[in-house]
Amino acid sequence: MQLNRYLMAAGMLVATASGLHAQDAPQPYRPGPETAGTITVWTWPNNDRTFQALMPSFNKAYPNIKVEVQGYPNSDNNYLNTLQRAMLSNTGPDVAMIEIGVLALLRDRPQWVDLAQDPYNADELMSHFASFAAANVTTADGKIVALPKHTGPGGLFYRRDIFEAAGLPSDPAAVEALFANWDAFIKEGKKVVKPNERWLVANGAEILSTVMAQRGISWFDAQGNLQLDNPVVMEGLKLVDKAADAGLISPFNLWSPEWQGAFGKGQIATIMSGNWMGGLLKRAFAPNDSGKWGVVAAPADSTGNRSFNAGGDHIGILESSKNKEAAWAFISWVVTDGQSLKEQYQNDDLYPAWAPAGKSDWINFEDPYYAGENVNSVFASVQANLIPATLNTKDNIVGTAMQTAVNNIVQGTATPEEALAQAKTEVAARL
Amino acid sequence: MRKSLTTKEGRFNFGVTIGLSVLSVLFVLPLYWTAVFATHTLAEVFQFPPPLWFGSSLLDNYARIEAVFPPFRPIINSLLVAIPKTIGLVLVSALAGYGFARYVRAPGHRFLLGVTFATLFFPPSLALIPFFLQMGWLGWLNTFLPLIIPAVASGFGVIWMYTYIGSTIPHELYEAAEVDGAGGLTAFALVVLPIIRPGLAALAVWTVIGTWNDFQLPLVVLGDGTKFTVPLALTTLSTTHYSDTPSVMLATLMGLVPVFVLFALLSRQFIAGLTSGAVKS
Amino acid sequence: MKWGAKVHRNAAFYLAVAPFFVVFLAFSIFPVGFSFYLGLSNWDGFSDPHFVGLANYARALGDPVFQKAIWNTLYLWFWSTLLTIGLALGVAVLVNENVSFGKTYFRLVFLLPLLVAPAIAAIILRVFFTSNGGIVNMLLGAAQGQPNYFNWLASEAWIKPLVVLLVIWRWTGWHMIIFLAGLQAIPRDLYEAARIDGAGRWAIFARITVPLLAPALAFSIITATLGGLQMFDEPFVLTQGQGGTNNSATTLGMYLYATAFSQFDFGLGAAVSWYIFAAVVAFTLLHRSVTKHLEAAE
Repeated sequence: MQLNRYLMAAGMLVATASGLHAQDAPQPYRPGPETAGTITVWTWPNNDRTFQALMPSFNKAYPNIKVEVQGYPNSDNNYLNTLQRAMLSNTGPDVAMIEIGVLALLRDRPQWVDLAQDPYNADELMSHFASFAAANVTTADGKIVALPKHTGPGGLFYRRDIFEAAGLPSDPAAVEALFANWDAFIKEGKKVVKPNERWLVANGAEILSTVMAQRGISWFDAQGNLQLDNPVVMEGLKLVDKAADAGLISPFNLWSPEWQGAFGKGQIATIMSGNWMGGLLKRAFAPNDSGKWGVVAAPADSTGNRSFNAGGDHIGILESSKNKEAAWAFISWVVTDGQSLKEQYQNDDLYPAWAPAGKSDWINFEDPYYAGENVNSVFASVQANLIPATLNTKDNIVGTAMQTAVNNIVQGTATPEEALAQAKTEVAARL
Repeated sequence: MRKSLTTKEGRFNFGVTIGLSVLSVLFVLPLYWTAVFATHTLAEVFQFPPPLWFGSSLLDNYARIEAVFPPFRPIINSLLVAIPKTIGLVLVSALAGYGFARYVRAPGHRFLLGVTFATLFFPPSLALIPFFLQMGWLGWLNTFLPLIIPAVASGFGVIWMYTYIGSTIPHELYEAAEVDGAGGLTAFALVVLPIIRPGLAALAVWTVIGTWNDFQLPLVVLGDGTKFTVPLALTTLSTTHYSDTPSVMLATLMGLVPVFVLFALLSRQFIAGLTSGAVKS
Repeated sequence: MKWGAKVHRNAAFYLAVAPFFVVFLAFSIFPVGFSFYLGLSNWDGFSDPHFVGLANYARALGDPVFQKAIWNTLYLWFWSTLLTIGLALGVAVLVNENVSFGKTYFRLVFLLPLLVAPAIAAIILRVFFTSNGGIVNMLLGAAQGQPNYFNWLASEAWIKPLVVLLVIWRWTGWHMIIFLAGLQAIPRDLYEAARIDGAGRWAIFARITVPLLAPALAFSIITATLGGLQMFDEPFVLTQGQGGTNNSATTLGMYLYATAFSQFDFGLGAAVSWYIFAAVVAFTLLHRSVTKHLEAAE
């Protein structure tokens, strides 16, 4: 799941393309404010904190709905396994979040409420969501299993202070010009590295995922053919190898506690990720480093493309829920209400999948965490240009095997060729 | 009898005692450090040299842990599992142990006792998957029932009580009870139970500690985070709560306190139970 | 008729053992029977199961991860059993023979780690061995004069020794208590006689202590083995459920858990559980025949 989160490149028609204006935004069906009850919501960190923080605003709209949020670790498929086990036995929550990396796997399960039905009629809303996200939550027979919540336009987060100390420019325009392509990224980025103390790249997987997403390659193509033999995969692994040889990549495993801790200790100079990473930095990894971070577009690939999508999430209701009315009130409020989307965007850097939000004034603002930078100037253009990912039910299996391949390359225990061959054997055994 | 340090053997014994003391410190060090870390700030924990004595940040750490994780809930959950399970297991085991110890000539006695012994070698992993499915059909998943009801049938407990009753209660006592007109089950309740109280206590301590530490079965049957027992909740906390080592250590410490208190109160029964199993086989 | 009367006279016996057997039958024997059926079918829990014969058993054998899990399990079982029992035996003998004061302290102190759940012990170990600021790397870094970020938990070479370390830490006290009980049953005059004959410490240990401790040793070994072959908690928590880099710490128990509860391949998982069962049975039979052989030799 970890790698997929980075890898899922996905295109989105921005609000301008669909010709919508904020005031044209459709109103979804909403139960009245007297709706009451307790609902349970399952998600992962940092989304659990995001939801907790939203509660005062939600309870202004629905004072009688109590929401119990539970976060399960994402790191070892724990959330996915727990949710699937609960679905199997009808003991799940009322509302569950679905990450894009496991959406293909989960959407075929019969336990989701079909939101296209009365009274929800979410099919009428779908044209107002990012089009790829709307397509992803709709199954072949027209069932809508979840509402798209956020997309993940990606960029390069970097530490201004570390860049300055290393003699590099720290202004976003200059950094973007400096990191014109991957070779420049490796060559110039080397300057921030202090051996055994500070690294340029938090984890090698970022490089592979970004390169693949920029080129529009997913683990599987639309026909379901495994893409591990695609030359772009080897290109990405070789880039990982090159960066590792240059000492750029931290030794910490993706999502491990030490990886998480490295940000707050100033050991990591950049991270390539979806914009939601900003929420994790602000709230969990580096809350004390406000004003020190900046965002630019990722280094360009050989075609000149800098845009990529990493991550994205969706929120659905389970059939086993005993209070679907309250559950719908919650999910429809979370993904379409202006106040909800504004708070999630400004406090947790979650990019709305609800297209009318793209026209809102709150989407462009000077964020003190990024030293006053308006990061939407990066992400809006990424949104407009990125190539959508192709989802497959087996994404998770390939993602796990390829994470191991990247780790082996970074640790120097395998060449890119050996690591890929091993991943292919592992994947073949599990498909 | 104490040998003085002047003899060669005395010096050797002194050296051994010192060596074992050092080893025992190494064994306790991880627990001691857990407690020490729980009282320091994050920065203090990561400095060099690491803190060796308690700090002053206990309350701050507690406030931080409480903000993301109700620290007493898993402890209450563990108690809600351990207490009914222990009572049930001890009673079922004592009753069956009594049956086996008293009615040695009953038809089927030998066979059933053999079966009970064989269950000791029964690997729990064999039943794990179908047990999960069975609990699903019964609608027991996500409740404490799968951790309590099936667990009261313990071959280990039955053998333990069989051995204990066999060695503490003479057959004459049963005959005397029969003369007084007490039937089999009445004799158990009125005569046997009061006598075997120390054995019951030993089995109970073992069961509580074993249940407290159980991880795999709760992991499989409990999905809802609010129902997590101590090891599950702490495992989740340590992977979601990033690198806030002091507060994770504090929560860990809190989860350990109940078993350590129990051990402090009943260590003799605990050890007695431990050796009784060995002597039998 | 005689038989019936006998049963009737012993009605209390059947009533007394009934609760145990009823619960055991319902929640242990029934699942095992069902597991046999599952092992012969292909089922993900969502769709309809279908019969596949022995395909799951063959599939497990062909999976390189399963092969690795067998090797890992044997490695962890062997080293953890050998080192734990070796250390416990040494400590027990020394406490029994050479320690004149503080015996109760030594009996209790080594037992304390056993009170710590394996999962919690693994969390504590993770904190000490974490690559970024863990106490072990800090001490090493101080010794080397530069920061050390060695990733113990991701290292294929070190993860298994760490699991073994965890088992030693938790279980040494338990085995020690078993051995102390056994040692106290050995008559003191045997030692005195040997000493008068001029036997040294080693000779006494090898010729008297170990043979007379054989029943306790056998009990220790079989208990450690039943646990070792099904090891799950320690490596699971230590590797955050992932089995370490390249499955370097994936045990059979973890493989079973992963196939059943994260890949929802219940048939394959059931087949694996029967392989584990076969290993336990094989070891128990081996243990029995060795014990019988030794008894016959006496």
